Amino acid sequence: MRSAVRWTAAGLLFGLLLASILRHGPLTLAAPATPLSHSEPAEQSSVPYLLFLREVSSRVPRGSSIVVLDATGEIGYMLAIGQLPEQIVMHPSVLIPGAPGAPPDWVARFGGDFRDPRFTLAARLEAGALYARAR
Amino acid sequence: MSSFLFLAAFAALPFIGFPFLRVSRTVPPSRAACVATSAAWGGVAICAEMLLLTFLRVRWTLPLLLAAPAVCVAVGRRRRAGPPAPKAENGAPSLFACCAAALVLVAVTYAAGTARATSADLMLFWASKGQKFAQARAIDIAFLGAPEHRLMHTDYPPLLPCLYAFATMIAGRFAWGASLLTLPIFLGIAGLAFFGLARSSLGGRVAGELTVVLLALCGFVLVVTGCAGNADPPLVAFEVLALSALVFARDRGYGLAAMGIALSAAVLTKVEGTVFAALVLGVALVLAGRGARRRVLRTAGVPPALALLAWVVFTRAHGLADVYGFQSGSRLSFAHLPLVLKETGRSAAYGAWYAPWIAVAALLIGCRSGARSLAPLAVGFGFTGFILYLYLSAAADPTLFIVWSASRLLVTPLICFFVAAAASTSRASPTMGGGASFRKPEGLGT
Repeated sequence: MRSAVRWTAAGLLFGLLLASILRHGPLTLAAPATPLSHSEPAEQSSVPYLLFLREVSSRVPRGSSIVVLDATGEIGYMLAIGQLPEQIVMHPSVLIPGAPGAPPDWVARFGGDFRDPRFTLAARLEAGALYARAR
Repeated sequence: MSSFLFLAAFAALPFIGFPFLRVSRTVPPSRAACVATSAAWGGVAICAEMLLLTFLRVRWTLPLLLAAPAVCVAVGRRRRAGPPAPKAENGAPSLFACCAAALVLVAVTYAAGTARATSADLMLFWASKGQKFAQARAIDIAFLGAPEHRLMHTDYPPLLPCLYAFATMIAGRFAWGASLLTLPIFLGIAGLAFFGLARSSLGGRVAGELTVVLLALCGFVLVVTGCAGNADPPLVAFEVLALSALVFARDRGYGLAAMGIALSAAVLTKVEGTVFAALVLGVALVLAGRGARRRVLRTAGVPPALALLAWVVFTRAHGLADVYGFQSGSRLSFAHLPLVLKETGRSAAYGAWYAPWIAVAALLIGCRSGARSLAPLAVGFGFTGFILYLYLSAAADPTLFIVWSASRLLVTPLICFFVAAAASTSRASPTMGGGASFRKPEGLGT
């Protein structure tokens, strides 16, 4: 009897686990594009930004300093730190005119345009643009 | 290749930890428990070395980090081996249970590997810290101390970022896909911990069946709360190890030692790990006879206290103290009590009509003896009280705080109640210092 209870409990929980897996999209063996690709819908909203950062990562030289601008502000900054480990990610506040220190080598803008006379457009990306510091 | 090496670093934790276990002569008789305890030792050893080297301003290198386990291997060889631990004649789990456990782990691995089981927390701070630490070859104080990184919880316990840094140093880069697979690794460690320690009391068949329930329970809640790659899976593994040791082996030297190292690991994994450790230790002291309290304190109490002290001193010495500054200034207020109960209750449902709680309650109902279940029940209710206190003492409307955290925090009481249910299956009752009175448990066969 107690064994039956245990197996019923295990079966119920395993069924819920499988349902949770199926709820996040069709079964596939393909590697996900990002760690959030099949997560909860609210989390998935970050996927385009993560893909943008991957593109930025492949174009910006290692060791360069960069500011990434997106609408989410601090969250976007924190995500960029982890996704651009080879570059020096700076906080967007360094772009404020008169901010102390040198401006970054690059600015990546996710969605929309970026206008600053100190930077020139370097490349249009799928979900934004990359700007280089004017020399 | 780098993903493989990254995962191998985590899979190697039992090998790194085993020399410490051997030198301390607290090797559990069960291989499963030995692997789980060694993994906890491995995690704590790597984290402690990284903390010490940072404090001494010595840059991390792999040979340096692996030096301590290597020294322990040498010492272990020179020391005469202690008497072999008695092998418990306790039967084997059924083949069906083994297959079911493997099936659950495969499902969890699939969920984690296809990015169905994580949340942005991994990318916002756990992984970022690990990468930065690996690049700096130290716990990066300048990075943590920068005002713009305050949202990354600067003084949050360092065990997982340190393990990520260790894996990054081995793999050459942070492997995002592999980091998600730390969930099934730590879930497997939790299963081994429970099975290995419960087997001598419950018998192989019952312990095997309950291990399947535990894996399905933790697998479901960790997947549905998006915990892959976060610190919750290791915390669950260490909590299961500590609770199993408390319930099934607290009268044995290896049980107390397993509890001590698991609590140290919990303290270094998440802030709430300290609350859990205090509760487990408090219960262990209450249950211990007068003569055994000193032994409990020395073996299970001192290691987590030292772990906490080391991290608090480190954060304070470097101006990183936030949570560990103990200056929140918040006060308990019952103004939000209806809201807290409503929102916490909603999170407790796990989107599955409270099925995890119902499953655990079904196991608890009709238990033979409640005495052995009291310890994990006390820890579970104590931790639930802490969760409510946390929300009731929030400075402002705690709704978002609860939505973000409650479903994860509630995993701890859920595990406590599961272990209580498992304990109620057993007839044997360990007595501190006096040896266990052993009666034939259910499922031993005839």
